[in-house]
Amino acid sequence: MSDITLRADATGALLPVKTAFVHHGEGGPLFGILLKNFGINSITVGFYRFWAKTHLRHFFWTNSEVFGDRFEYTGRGLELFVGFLFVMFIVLIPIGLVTNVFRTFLAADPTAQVMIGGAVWLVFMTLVGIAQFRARRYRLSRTQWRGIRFFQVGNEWVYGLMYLLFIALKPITFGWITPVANCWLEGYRTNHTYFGSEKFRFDGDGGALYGAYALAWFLAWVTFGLGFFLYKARELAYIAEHSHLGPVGFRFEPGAGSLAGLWFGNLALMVMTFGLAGPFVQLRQARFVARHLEIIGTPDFAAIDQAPADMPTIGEGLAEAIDLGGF
Amino acid sequence: MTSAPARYIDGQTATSHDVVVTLEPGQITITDGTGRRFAFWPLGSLHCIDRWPLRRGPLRLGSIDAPAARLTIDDLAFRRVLLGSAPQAGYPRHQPLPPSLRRVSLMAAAMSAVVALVFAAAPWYAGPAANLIPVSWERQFGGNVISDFKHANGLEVCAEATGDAALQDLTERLAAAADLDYLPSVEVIDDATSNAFAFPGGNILVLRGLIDKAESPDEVAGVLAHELGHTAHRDGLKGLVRANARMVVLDALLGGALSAAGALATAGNTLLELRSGRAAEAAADRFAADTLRRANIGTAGLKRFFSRMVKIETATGIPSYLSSHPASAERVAAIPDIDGDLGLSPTQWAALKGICGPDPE
Repeated sequence: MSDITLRADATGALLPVKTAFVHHGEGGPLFGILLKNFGINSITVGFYRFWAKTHLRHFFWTNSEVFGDRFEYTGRGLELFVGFLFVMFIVLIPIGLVTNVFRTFLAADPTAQVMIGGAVWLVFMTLVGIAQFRARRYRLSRTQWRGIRFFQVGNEWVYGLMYLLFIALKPITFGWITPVANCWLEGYRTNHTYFGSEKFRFDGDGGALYGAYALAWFLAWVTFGLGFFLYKARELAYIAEHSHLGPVGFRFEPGAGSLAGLWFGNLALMVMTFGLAGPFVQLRQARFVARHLEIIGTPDFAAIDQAPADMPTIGEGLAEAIDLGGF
Repeated sequence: MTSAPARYIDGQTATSHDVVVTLEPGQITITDGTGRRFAFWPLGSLHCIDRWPLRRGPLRLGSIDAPAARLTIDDLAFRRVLLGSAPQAGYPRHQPLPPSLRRVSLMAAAMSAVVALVFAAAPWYAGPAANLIPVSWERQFGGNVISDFKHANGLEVCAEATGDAALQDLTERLAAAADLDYLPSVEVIDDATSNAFAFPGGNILVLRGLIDKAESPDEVAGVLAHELGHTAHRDGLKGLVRANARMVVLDALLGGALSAAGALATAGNTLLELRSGRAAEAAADRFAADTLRRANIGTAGLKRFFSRMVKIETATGIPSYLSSHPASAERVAAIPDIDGDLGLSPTQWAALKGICGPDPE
């Protein structure tokens, strides 16, 4: 393992090597994909969405470059579809039917309705957490760089239940659990992610974020919530700072202003196009990340071996079924 | 012979090597920095790593002979020449059909299979699913459904003391003979159509037209016994479960493109469109014959009613008996000939006939 590679600048001082991501995606080709997806989705009444999503993801992955090489996406629409079918028959339909039946037949009983609502919420929130975790696992398993696979291990039930716990705690703590919650979830994901034989690490607990959170929280009343961009910027920077891949570190310091600009720009875009501009929002975000994310140091490429071959074969069916959206 | 610089990745480690790729007859050779050739890839084995090859990006080649390796070529001129000699190198592996045709046929097949499965399998799971629902729930729900239905269609219930008493008498007699868990509620609706419906929870509606056109009370008794069969078998509930399941599946499959909200809201009207199917109708017929025999009422009336219905054409508005209870000559023949009384005394029959007040005609 090599240490962070340093280089000397003009004055002879040693500086860490910084590399940035480059995003090559352009609006023209993206629009072409969008048009095709829209057309086929309309004809098939939404059935095509698995293949549409795969094509978009492929576009974003293969246009992302780092250290001179682009990423590869090896996922297929069929995998997403099969995963979805699986989940639909085993999870969605039974839960949907049971919920409908209870709702219908106990319509006259308000206590029962509340309890049903509560039970459904608990189950649903856990499923959302599990779905996020599994979806990420699938995406990573289909992502390669220089032929080396990424993968994620970890227990989806642990993640799902912690997710539920944090969601429940947020309103109870008036949001104060947020820094710890976000860091725990981020940490669990990161600490269980590998690039080939190299493991990612996250060593933050969120404690240092409370200063920024308090500021944003108290300012929220005065600034209509805009103060939370300050917190979010700080949180993203903190997460990057505490994430490592072997000897390599990360920096992500866009600043609250740019973050707000990105967010409002995306909002405007979505509103003006009635939600159809989703992929363009993703493009903006990809470019934003490429502009601001830095990798500190250089990995010892020769020491990173290929990942083991045990990979999930069906894709994020649960996330698809619950329709989490996003990448 | 054309050459170009390229990057070679062996797929075993994350290192990338700067190499020179040369196009030779039938193959490309990969040469390292010292000029040593270390890989030969036949043109026929070449394919593109990317599922959708980048038009404005590097060409990433793989070879069937070297599954993990990749060759990244930025040079556009070389790329053009290579793709001229080996066009399939610009496409990913596993593309026997044009991509769109393959995708569409796969999609269509999968879509039809799934939908067919759910719709065809409906009779199989509707029964067991419906049986899981307690009768008390069904009755409470059924009460709501029927009052919504009556309200939505502006139906008026005929109520008249002696007529009600006669109807109640007949219902109790049949229910006792059928050994039902609870006494169904039978109401007469002021409508000239000749029809009767069994809603979930033992709520039965009989339209005045049926009573008006009946020649004798055993016709009404027979139809009522048939509807009691639907009640006993919970057919209305099963139909609802089926419709519900189909809605849930279609909604999930199409990602929410359809709204499933409407289905439950109009449960009452949906029931009208639901055909119980021949099996359920035949079962209700057998139940009716059985019940009539045990109650000592003859089946002649029921048979006569069905035969008459077969001849009458469907009216508009609330459908006549046939469109929601498909009848046929076989069904008439399947009902055994049983002797018995008419079900109501002449006084009771007259009272029932007059349950909706004086004859408007």
